[in-house]
Amino acid sequence: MNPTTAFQKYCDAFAAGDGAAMAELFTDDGVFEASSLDSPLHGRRQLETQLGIISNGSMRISTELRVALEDGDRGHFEGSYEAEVVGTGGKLDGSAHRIDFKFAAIVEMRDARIARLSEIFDTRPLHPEERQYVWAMNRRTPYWDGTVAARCKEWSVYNNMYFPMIYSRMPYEDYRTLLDGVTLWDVGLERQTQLRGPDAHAFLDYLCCRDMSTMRPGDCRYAQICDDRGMIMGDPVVLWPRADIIWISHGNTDITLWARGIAMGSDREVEVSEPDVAPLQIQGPLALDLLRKICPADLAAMKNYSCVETAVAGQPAVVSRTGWSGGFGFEVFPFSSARAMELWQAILDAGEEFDLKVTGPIVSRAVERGVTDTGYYNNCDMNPFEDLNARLVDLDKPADFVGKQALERILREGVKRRSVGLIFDAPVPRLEWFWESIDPRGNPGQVRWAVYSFALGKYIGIALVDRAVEIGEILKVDHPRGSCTAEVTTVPFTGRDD
Amino acid sequence: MQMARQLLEDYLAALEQQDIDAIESLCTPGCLLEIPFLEPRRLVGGREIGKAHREIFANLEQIEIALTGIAADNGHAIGEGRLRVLRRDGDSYDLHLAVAAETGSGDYRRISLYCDTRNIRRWSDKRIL
Repeated sequence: MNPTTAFQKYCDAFAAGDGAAMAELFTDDGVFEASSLDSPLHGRRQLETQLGIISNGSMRISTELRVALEDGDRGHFEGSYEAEVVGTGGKLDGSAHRIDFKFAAIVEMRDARIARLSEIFDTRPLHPEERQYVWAMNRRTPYWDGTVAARCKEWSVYNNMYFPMIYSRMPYEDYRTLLDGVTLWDVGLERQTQLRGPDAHAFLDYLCCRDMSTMRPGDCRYAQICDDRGMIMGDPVVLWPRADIIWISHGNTDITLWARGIAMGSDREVEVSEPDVAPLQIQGPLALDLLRKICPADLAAMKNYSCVETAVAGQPAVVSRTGWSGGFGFEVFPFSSARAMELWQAILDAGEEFDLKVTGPIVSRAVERGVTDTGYYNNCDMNPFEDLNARLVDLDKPADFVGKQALERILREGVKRRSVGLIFDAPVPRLEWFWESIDPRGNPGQVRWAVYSFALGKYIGIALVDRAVEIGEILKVDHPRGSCTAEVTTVPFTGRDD
Repeated sequence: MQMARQLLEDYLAALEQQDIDAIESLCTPGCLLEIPFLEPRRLVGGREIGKAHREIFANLEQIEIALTGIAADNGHAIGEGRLRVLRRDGDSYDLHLAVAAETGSGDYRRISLYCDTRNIRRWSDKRIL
């Protein structure tokens, strides 16, 4: 096999998304370099995995080789690459998110296999801007510098803080890394509402619709907090890391403000505050292998939804078996953010051997697994009986709680809506705000989540619809680029290991 | 000597010496230069290419291109190497580079630089050298 034949075979295998076929072209110690990679790939195993991931992140791939020059075992090539990115929902104008660029490539052969393949091109067509600007009116997390260095390019605002969402990578690369490897997320914007004092536990139970009275130190528990009208304010994970500390690790609603107000108007002995705790999520099947290198706790013995007070990279921290991935992973809650970047770097260093990738939350995977995020302002105007997690309301629990009377009334009068899964019949754009839907009886609904499912190869969503809507029915959905139909289905869309 | 290889080597030598006259003399009216550091990235003809290089050189203290391999036939040449740049503001870059040159009938010539600019874009899509 000469360099030109080898490179052409590589291009064909890349277009087919066949990682094994690409790896087979290389020597055992073959090296692949590309301008879009942070570091070269070494050896057949890494080549098969990573080239398989990269190539499957695009579709309709075509490569045109315009110039092929050989000098013995070395080939020099010039050509053009055209493809569409999978999973972004396209551009605002409805066109496909394309990555078309010209490239030069160098191939070095040894024993009729590729010893080195280097692709050199400007990544501007892949990622036109390095990152968005942000404004000083919201806070940055203490890991900001790390996320910028990792080439975050798009942030959301969450708890008045910048939430790193999209990094300069194909969506499928992030998705696949979460399923097969390990990812690091800056979730410093997940704030902790800290409860301390003799009545802290009872006060927690009063705030939540779920029965929290059976919770004990070392436990974590997913909960829902409603207002006095029975509307969901948030769906936090509650941690009890130390006998005298309870943390309500909440989403995009200021639960601390809410809890402080309630505490001020009561005679409970409870201190409500927001400590300087900025969490990180380490998610994916290799999360344990990574974290055990820098954490002395017996992490392997930890059950799902448990937490332990320990140290991570020498810094006092709580580690919990929780996360937003819908799969295996941990969250790290350092007791202070004073040395946040040291912690960040220690995790990066520990993760190097596992090909750790810094990513945002993998929303497409979360929706596949039915993991959502319910806030007071986003995803609002919903009572917990209408949510996917209606089972988390314990109206019969011993203690009174905020919203109990309203929820009893809602049940008496009949719950009017329900959350269901949708499978769209056509590509849909990225969801920037709720889309209207109409069921076969003419009743309106709202699509509140919409993503591309890599597992199913289809666009999927979660909608809040009329109670009468049944599985298998077809809804009409209007979105900013037109209309489509969607079949109603159950949630989750995939199993934990799919 | 292969014409494309000669064009490639002459252009890189002129670039290193920051020799505008040499660059303009290489660039016939039909010459196309593709260079990722500029906006626009495709320049045509000696005058346009010379003007762009004047602007580049105004910011540069030193530019060095070290090719580690080159392959050519009569009409094409492609080289691989490193591009090292020291700007007048003190910033320096050391980048993986490929350069392709093509010669054809008439005054058609093409020089294409391949290099990733992601670490030197400085949060914008504007000119960077």
